[in-house]
Amino acid sequence: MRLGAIFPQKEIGADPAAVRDYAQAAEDLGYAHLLVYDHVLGADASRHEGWNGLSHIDMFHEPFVLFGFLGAVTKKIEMATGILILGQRQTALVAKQAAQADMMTGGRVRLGIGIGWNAVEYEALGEDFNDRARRFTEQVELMRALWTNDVVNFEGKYHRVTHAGINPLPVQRPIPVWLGGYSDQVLRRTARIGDGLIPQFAPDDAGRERIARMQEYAVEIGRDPTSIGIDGFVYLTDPLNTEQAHKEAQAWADLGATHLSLNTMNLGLQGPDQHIEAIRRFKEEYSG
Amino acid sequence: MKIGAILPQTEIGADPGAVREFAQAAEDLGYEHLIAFDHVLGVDASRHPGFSGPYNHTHMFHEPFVTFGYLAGLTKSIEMVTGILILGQRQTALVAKQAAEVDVLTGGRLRLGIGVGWNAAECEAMGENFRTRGRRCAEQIELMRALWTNDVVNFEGKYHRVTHAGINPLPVQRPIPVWIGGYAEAVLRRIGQIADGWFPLFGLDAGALESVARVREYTREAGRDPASVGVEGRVRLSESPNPDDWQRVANIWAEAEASHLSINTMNAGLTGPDQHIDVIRRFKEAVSA
Repeated sequence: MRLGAIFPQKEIGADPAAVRDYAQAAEDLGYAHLLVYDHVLGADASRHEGWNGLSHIDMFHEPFVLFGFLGAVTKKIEMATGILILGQRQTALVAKQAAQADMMTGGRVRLGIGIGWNAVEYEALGEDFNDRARRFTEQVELMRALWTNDVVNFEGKYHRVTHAGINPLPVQRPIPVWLGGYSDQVLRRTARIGDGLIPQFAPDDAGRERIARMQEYAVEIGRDPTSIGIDGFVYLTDPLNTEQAHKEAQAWADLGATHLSLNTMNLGLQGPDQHIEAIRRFKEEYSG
Repeated sequence: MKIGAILPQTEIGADPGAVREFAQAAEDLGYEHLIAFDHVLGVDASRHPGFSGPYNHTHMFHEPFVTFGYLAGLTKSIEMVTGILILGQRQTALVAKQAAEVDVLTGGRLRLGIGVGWNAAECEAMGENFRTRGRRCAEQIELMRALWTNDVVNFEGKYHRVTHAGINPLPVQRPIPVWIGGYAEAVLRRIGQIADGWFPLFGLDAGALESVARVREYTREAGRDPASVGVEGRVRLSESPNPDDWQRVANIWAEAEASHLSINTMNAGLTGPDQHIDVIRRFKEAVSA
C-alpha cells in the first residue's frame, strides 16, 4: 500500500511556514501522498439546533489554493483531496482549478470527491442540497470532458457548455477521480465511474462486505475490480503506541487496499512538530 | 504611483517555472504588485457566430487563486492582484474563502479586483445568470466583506442566504481590499459608493480623464473621501512601444492622480518569459527615472 498522511487541517493553524514544514517533512519521510479535507464554511453549532459535527471553529485550508502553494514547496508528493464536496461547487470551476493545481504540481493531483452532509454550507454556496447526488455523475462526466478536450459542447440535465473549454489543460488527462463515502449508492457509483474509493468506514467485517459489494458491482458492468483503487484510513489513537494503527493498516492490506492514509488529528497534538513526529514514528514501523 | 506588472497570461505558456521566473523577476526589479487576469473558460469563436470578444479558447489563462497560492511559496513581498476576477460568474462564498486562503498564505498580500465580465457563454458554462450579474455585484461584495471580518455571518440578501456560518481561517487583511474594474456609468457609480479602488480598463484619451473626474464626484456624493479610492492606470506595450511613450502615459496618469500604474506586455509580439522580463526591466527604469 502507498502510505499517505492526512493533512492535519484543523490543528496545523494559519501560519504558512507550518503548512510548508509539515508538507516537506511528509515528503522527506517518504509519504506518497497528502490527503486534504474540504469545507468552505462551518456552521455555528450554537445557532443550529441538534448540530452534531464540524463547526465554524474548525479551520480548513482551501484545498486548491493550498495545492498551488504546496506545488511550489514540494517536489514529488501527491496531492489528494479527501474529499472535496463536489456538489456544492461549480463543476467548470472545479475542473479549471484542479487542472491549474495539476499543472502547478507537475501532474500530482488526485481528486477525491463526495456529496457532503452539510446543508448549511450548500445554502451559503447557493447550490441545491436535495439533488446533490443526482447531479454528481454528470459533474464527473463534464469535468472529464473539460480535462481531455480543448473545446467541449455539453448539454446535460444540470449543465450546459456551448463550444467552450479550459486552457491550460491538466498534465494528467484526465485527472484521477476517487469517490468518498460508504452508502450503497457510493459503492455503485464508484464501480461505475470511479478511479478509486476513499472508504469512510472501518476495515471490519461490515467494511469487508462493502468492499466486496463494490467489486461485485464493478464485475457486473464489465470492469476489472482491481483497476479501482482503495485508499483506506487509520486513526492514530496514541502517538507513542502505534500498535492498534498498524493492526488496522494490516486489515486494509488484507482487504486489498492500494493506498493508506494516516490521521493524526483529535489526539491533542499541537503545532506542526508534534504532527511531524507522529507521522515519523508511524512510518518507521510501517513496512507497507 | 505604485508600479505593477501584469502577468502575461496568454503568452507565458503552461510551464510553472516560467510563471515563477516572471513573478520573481518582477519582485526583484522592485515592482510592488503583480496583476493576473481571469477567465475560467474560453469559447471556440468558430462555433459562435458574431463572437467579438477579445479572448477565445486558444488563449491560456492561469487560474488566479491557485496561481497566487503557488506564487505565495516563491515570493516575499510583491502584492498579488486580480485584475479583474469575474465575480458574477463565481459563487460569492467560495471567492471569499479562496481569497482569504491566498491572503493567509501570502501574509496579507492580496488585492481583489473584480468585475462583471462580458462573456455570456462563459457565464452559462458556470451555471450563473449573465443578465443579473450587474445587480448581484454589490450584494456579492457586501457578503464577502461580512465573511472576511466575522467568524460567523447571518445574511439574508436578495441573491444570497447564509445561516449562522463562516469561513475559517479569516484573511490577514480584514477585509481584503476590493477594487472594481470597468467603465459603464453604473460601474463608476458603484465604485464611488463601495470600492476601495478602480481599474479603469481603458486607454487614455480625453474621455478617460473625464471618467476619473466622475468617479471622484460619485465618491464625494457617497460621503467618502475621493482620495481614499485608488486608481490603477495602465500602459499597454502594444499601444506604447517606446520608453518615451511609457513616460508620457505615466505622466498623464500621474496628473490624473492615479495611485497605481501597471504595464501590460501582451499583444506586442513578445515570446517567452525572458522577453517579457526584459520589457518590464526597461519599463521600470523608464518610469522610475
